[in-house]
Amino acid sequence: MKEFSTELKVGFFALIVLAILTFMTFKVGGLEWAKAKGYTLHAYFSNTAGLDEKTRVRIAGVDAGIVDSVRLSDGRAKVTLIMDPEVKIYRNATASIKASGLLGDKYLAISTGTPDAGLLKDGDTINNVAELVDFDALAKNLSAVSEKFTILAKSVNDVIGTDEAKDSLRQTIVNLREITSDLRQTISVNDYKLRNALDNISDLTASMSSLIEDNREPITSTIANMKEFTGTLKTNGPELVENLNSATRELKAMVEENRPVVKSAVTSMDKIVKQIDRGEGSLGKFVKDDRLYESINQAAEGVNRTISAVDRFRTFLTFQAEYLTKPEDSKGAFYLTLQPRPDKYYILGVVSDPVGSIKTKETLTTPPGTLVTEETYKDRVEFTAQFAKRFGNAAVRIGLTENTFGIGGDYFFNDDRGRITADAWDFSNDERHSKNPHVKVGVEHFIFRKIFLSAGADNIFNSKWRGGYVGMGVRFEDEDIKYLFSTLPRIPTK
Amino acid sequence: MIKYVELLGKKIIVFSEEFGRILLLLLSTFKQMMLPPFEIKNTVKQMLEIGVKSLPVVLVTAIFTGMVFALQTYTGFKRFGAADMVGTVVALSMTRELGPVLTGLIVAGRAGAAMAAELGTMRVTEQIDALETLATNPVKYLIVPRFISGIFMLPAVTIVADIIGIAGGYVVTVGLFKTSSVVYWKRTWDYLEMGDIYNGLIKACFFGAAIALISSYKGFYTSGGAEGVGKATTGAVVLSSMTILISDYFLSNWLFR
Repeated sequence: MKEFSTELKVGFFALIVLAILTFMTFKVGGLEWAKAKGYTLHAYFSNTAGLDEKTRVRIAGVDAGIVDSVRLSDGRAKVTLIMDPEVKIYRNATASIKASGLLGDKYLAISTGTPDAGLLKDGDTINNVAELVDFDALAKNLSAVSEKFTILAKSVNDVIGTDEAKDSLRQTIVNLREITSDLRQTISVNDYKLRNALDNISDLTASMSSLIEDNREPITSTIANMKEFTGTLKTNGPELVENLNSATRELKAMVEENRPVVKSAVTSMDKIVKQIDRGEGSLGKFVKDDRLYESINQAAEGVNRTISAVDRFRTFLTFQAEYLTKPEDSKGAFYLTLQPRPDKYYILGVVSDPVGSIKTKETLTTPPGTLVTEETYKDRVEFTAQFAKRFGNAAVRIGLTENTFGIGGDYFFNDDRGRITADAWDFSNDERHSKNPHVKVGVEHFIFRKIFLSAGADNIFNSKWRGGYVGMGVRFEDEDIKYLFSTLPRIPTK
Repeated sequence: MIKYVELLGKKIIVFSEEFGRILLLLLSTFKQMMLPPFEIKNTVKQMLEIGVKSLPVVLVTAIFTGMVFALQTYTGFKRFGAADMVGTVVALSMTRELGPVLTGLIVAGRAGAAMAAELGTMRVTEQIDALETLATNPVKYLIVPRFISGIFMLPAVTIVADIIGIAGGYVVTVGLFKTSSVVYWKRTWDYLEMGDIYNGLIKACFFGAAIALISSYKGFYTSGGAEGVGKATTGAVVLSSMTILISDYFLSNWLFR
């Protein structure tokens, strides 16, 4: 086997070292990247007991986030947490600082709360905070209590410390013992009865209490109503009874009188209901037929489609100016792009062409009599109307370009911020001094959100007009125009 | 009485002289380091000697250090219920302290001794003088490559020692004591910070420079034949090790506070 060279060994070793260093950097640095994810919550504690940044936040003992920062805020500690995005925490959640293990590895425990309280959002504060028990304060309280105990013990000692007191105390205890032994005897004799009675009482109270507990509200309101009612009854009682009496008498007479009418009304009602149920008659059809429901449904869907088409429909306005090196003049344009779908749009535009119309004036100089041709150019307004279809990053355009038939293509890059564009028009060479179609190739790129710069070559195939161009323009989306269109007759959708 | 004062004075003078010579050698090394031509071939050769060839010894040391560290901390920590912190302890101690220091000591014993012996032999056999007569600067030709290799190779070997030590701890905690491997790695990577690793590597850089400088110095200024070479070698290892241990305290004090 061939001996490895010194350089190879050192180089190989260096590669291993770099690999290990990269691995460790990723592993260790990993925690800091996790920081960006998740949403933040705040909690205020009066004592964080040394809770550190990057400490874990746990829900039911499971890691669910980390402590981002611990800051002072009005004498309290403001703890900012970054929670994992999939963890839901509700408004009645509780935060508390806990220690795992004896070494005091602190963590922040959160109980999520219940969904009915509403969800906590990014930047909200957890209001329920279980403060840590402060052992110093506890010790102070306990020592105060023990002091009072000492005083109490002292006074007790003062009272019963004398022999006389001790005697009487002993006597009392003897009496007490006698009483209790009597009591025991009595109880053991009547044990069975007593227990029975107690059981009954217990049962009764239990059922009563559950009854009352279940009906607490009704009982309360019933009692209140009863109270009111009896009050009213007491004052209006006799009159009420009299009225009631006469009313029943009248009702009875009325029923007697109308008995046949009521009977026939009930019968016809019954008939109608039966008809509806069978689907007869217009009301019956209305109720029983599915078609109505379906057509309403379809109508709703149609409306929905129209609205979404309008939403999808986008319009852009473009104002653009170019400076052409030939014929050293500028060209202005305004385009309205109507885009019913992302992959299909229409471009309508007005272009002011610097070489729109050319007037030729021939003069004979005197002397020596040579013919001088002088041409003057005049701006002319020309129109563009194109249909464009987009395939991924590329688009083709076809239609009217500056008053003549033209085709064009675009290639979009850098998230549509840039565009390479090529156009060809004027195939019949109508333009003056043109032997070939007008071909223009250029590139555009947005430097701000709405402002773009452009540059390229114009009229490549006609030597007379061949030149470069630079320009800039503004392109922005207009929300209002599309609603204007939506009020026009319906936009074709698929 | 006068004799002792004299002896003390002599010691101080000798020590100061030695210290001064080391510093002058350091300055000269820095100067020669900046000036072309660069001894690249020689430097690579020294990198192989100091770094690559020290690797097996360092790895064995590191893996057993990691293992014994895990063994001891586990038994200790288990007594108060913190057994799952073993990964953290092993990782922190390896990256911050044991990695750089143990690597430094081993490289001082292995490469430092070789360096001093080589240069010492060259000195007593008058090869260094020969170099001078050939208009070759011996500092540039001999010491600069060793110095550069020391600075670059020691951190490199240390990082390998770090990871191998942590792996050794893993073998013991998970393999022997059957604790959860997930817990070991989690505790290791969660509590380890980039600062721990980088500051350990900075220390290693210093150690590498110190070993190369001191060993070269000892060899370069050897006198007195074969015995002198032996003395120079011993002196190089002792002084390098002492320098590593003492400067480690001060470096830790600056870097980790």
